[in-house]
Amino acid sequence: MSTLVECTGLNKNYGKVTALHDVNLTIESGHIIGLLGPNGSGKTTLIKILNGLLTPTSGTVLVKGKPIGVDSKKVISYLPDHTYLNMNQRVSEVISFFTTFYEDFDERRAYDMLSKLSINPKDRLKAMSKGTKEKVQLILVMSRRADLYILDEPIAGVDPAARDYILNVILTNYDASASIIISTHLIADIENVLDEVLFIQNGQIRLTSSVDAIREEQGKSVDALFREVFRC
Amino acid sequence: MLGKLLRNEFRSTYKPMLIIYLMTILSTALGCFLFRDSSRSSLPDEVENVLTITFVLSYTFVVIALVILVFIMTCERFYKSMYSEQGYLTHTLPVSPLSNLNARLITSIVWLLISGVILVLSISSINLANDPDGFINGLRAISYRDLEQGALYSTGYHFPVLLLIILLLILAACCNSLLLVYAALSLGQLASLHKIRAAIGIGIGLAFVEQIIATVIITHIPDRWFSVSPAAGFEEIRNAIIHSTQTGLWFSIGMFSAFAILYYAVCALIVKKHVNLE
Repeated sequence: MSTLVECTGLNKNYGKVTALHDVNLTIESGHIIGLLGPNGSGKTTLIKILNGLLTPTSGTVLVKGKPIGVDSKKVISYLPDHTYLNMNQRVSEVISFFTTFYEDFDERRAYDMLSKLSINPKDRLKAMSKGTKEKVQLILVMSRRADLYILDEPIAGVDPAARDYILNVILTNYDASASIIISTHLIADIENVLDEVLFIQNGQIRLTSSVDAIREEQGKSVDALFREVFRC
Repeated sequence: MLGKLLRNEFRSTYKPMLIIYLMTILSTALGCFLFRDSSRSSLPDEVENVLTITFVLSYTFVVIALVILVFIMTCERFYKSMYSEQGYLTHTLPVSPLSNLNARLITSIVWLLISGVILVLSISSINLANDPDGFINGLRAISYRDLEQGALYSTGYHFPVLLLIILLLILAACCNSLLLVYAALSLGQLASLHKIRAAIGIGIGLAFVEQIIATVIITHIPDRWFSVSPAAGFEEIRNAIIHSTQTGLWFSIGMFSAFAILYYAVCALIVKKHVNLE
């Protein structure tokens, strides 16, 4: 096991609003981590900072010992919480794009997954339903052999049957040495696949624990603990 | 990686550009037909006049569309791919932020230059169709020696040098205009709300400041640089005109380039350190 991500004294302010406050965090390889918190807690801000889409106000982030940059982007596969592809393109064109730019992209894996879902690679993204677009994006992200997968709300916009499929895709398409960070508030749907959880509230990490420890020491499910911690 | 990014940029932008160029070529073909040697026309004068007016209006529209639309589309492409939803993909690619910026800038400049060439060819074609003999004779009448003499007489430069300077001026003007918009869009995306409105405001502000600075510099150029004594002879006046033309050319290139470099630095700083995809 090695350290993948190390955040030290991380702060992010939007004007006078504090989105992250003194976040200290270490993520090791080989884990599936749930980044859990209510809306506006700072989950997406933290994820965007890890991906270089936002610049922290202060603090440092290291990915495999290096600051966010070209090297960190080579090892992180990121799924945003909305569609981010050029909707005029065909799926095959997007796959070609990913093959060109990501050395770790497995084209065959992508076409296999598309075939299993009966998605025609010649179809244009704009002609697809929202759910199908999300599946295509997930396929693209999970077809990389990355060290860290960061999935922001991967199951938020899909029906329960599709959620099972998505979780299955995630679990069957990553290498054991890699880690996955899944941000969501649909905890009951994913808690069985998680190794660790990070509870985040008002931009601060409230709890870092393994799922087994929560169950054994507190005798509760992650969902039950979440409801207790974040009770309104 | 820049090569891959450039290929991707051209692949993503060529379709709308081809449509605009095709419209220009069709309008040119129509213009060539309508403006063809009038002595060979068999249409009544009234019909010919209506067709001509209609064509002039539509051709003007297409020409304006060619220049403005290409410019707007390249800027829109920059904003969409850098600072809107597609920016999530752009900024998570394992390429340097400067490569992303350079790829978009180079692609835009190439499209603008192609537009310029198409525009010149289009107007020349219509002139050729309108008066083929006059056009060809006119071209034949111009010898390299005439061009060389004309260039030396009016600017003091040899013709090839003058051509290079004019190309440099066009390139500097293209870079300046594009980078002004890029810088405005980059600064605008730092706002938490109304990013586009902020970018428009910043763009107008930057253009205004640029004009003010250029005017202030021009008004502070000492008069003696261009003045000639009342008793000056023809040669002295000609030298003063050449001097002022040369100064004007280099001053324009210098101003365009200086501001382009400044805008580029702003864009580079923002894509490297202040991307704000909230």
